[in-house]
This record gives sequence, C-alpha cells and structure tokens, in this order.
Amino acid sequence: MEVVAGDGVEGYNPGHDVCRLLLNAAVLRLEAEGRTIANLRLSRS
Amino acid sequence: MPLRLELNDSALQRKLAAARTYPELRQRGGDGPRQPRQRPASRVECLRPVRYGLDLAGLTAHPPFYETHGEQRVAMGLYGEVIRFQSHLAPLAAELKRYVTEESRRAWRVLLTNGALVHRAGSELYLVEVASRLLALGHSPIAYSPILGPLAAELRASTVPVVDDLAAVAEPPDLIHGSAPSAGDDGDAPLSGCSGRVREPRLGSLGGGAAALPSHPSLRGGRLHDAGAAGFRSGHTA
Repeated sequence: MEVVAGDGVEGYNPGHDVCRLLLNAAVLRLEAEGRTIANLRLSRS
Repeated sequence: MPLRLELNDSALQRKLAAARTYPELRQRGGDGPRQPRQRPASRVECLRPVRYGLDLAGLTAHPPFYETHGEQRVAMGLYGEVIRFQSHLAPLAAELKRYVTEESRRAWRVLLTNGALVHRAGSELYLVEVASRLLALGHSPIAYSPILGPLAAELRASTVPVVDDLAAVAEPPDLIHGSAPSAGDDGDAPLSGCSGRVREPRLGSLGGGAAALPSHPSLRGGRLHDAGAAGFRSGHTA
C-alpha cells in the first residue's frame, strides 16, 4: 500500500471526522514502522 | 502540492450516478431533487496531503456544524444527545494518539506456527521471512512446530526462538500466526498450551484454509472461520 485517501476533518459530519481520525491513526502506525504512505484527502479544488 | 486527476467520460458518469443516490444532495425545501450536473469541475478529482495527524485544533469552525445541527435535532426530539467536539471527538483523538504512541513503541510477541520446520519449502520459508522481518522491526517472533529439523536450526541461529512444545513459551503471545500442518497431521495440533494466556489473541493463516488451523479455545467453535475466504491472511482478530 502506498496511497490512502479519504475525507478530511470538516466539522460537518462527525462520522466522517471519526473515519479520518482512524485513517490518520493507521497511517501513523505504519509510518512508525518505517513505511511511507501518501495520506490524501478529497478536496473541492 | 495537490494531486489532480481528470476523469474520463466513463468515470465521470459513474461519479455523477453515485452522487444522484445521495439524499443529502436534494434541495432543502425547494422544488424537488437537485440532480448533480455535469460541470467542468466535476471532471477533476483533487486530492491534497493530510499532515495534521491526530491534532484537530483549528481544523474546523467552533462550534462545528454537527454541534449546532445536533442541538436543533435534540430540540426537535429526534436526537437524544448532541455529539460535541470537546466531549467526544477530542477525547477520541487523544486516545488514538496515546494508542499509536504506545503501540509504536511496543514490541509484539508473535507466535508463528507451521506443521514442520525441516525443509526450505513454501510455508516454511514464508515463516522464516516473516520472523526475520518482525525481528528487524524490533518485535519478538517465536516459531512453533511439532516437527523440527535443519530449518529450525537456521531460525535459532538467527536468534528466533523455536519450540516444539507450547509449554516452553514463557510469555503469552500478542498474536498467533497459524499455518498449515504437515501432511498426515490431523490439523488439530493443540495451541491449548496458550489457553488463558494469550492477550487479545489474533490468528491468521499463511494458507491451507481454516481446516488446517490448529485449535485454540479463543477461536469461535475452536476454529477460525474460513481464513482464506475472509481475507485472514495477515492477521485479524478472531
């Protein structure tokens, strides 16, 4: 796995924000093991 | 630097079709559903790097939309409680931060099992590779097999403990990675020696299917569900 993408924290839907937290936590775990992951969020522009 | 992906016609149509299924895109109090339209901007997917990790301060308006919306819903009797940033999201972020920090520092004890550790065959070499990599990452792999041979000696020489008796595993493993038994094995090599000592046991299969996994009382029905079909190839909670 090299890239993950998801919604960013927006303060709109708390479920979305929780998903982003879990995604970032997973990426941080992998980075701590020496992995490099591109962590991206969907953006309007 | 954002990543911009331009969708082809097929992808754009799939995107618009999916968007039309979202009730949130319907007009509020208007004249019926608002259909997502094909605009030049619809063809571009823009992805930006996320660098805030688990630090949420300053990312959203305060109070965030979901708090004011939740307050309205509670007043209408639709919600029982308002989800709030300070009392719900911020503590979750703090707990995840603590978890990530602790887990990143912790060495895992991983029990790797195989039917035999004699020859340099498929699942045996896979076990060696996994054990070597775990060791390099600072974890503590332990290999178990009822049949030991030259390959077990190689593992021991590389400082990976190898046992043919689970009673010799002094500390309970954090994770059990099970694999297929050797031909003639009845597939029931006992892991019961770890009974009651495995912390948050997880079990994965290197292959061979669920029937090949050794039994353990922590597994539902004594066996993991079909490991291959369920994607249990790299370790999942049983």
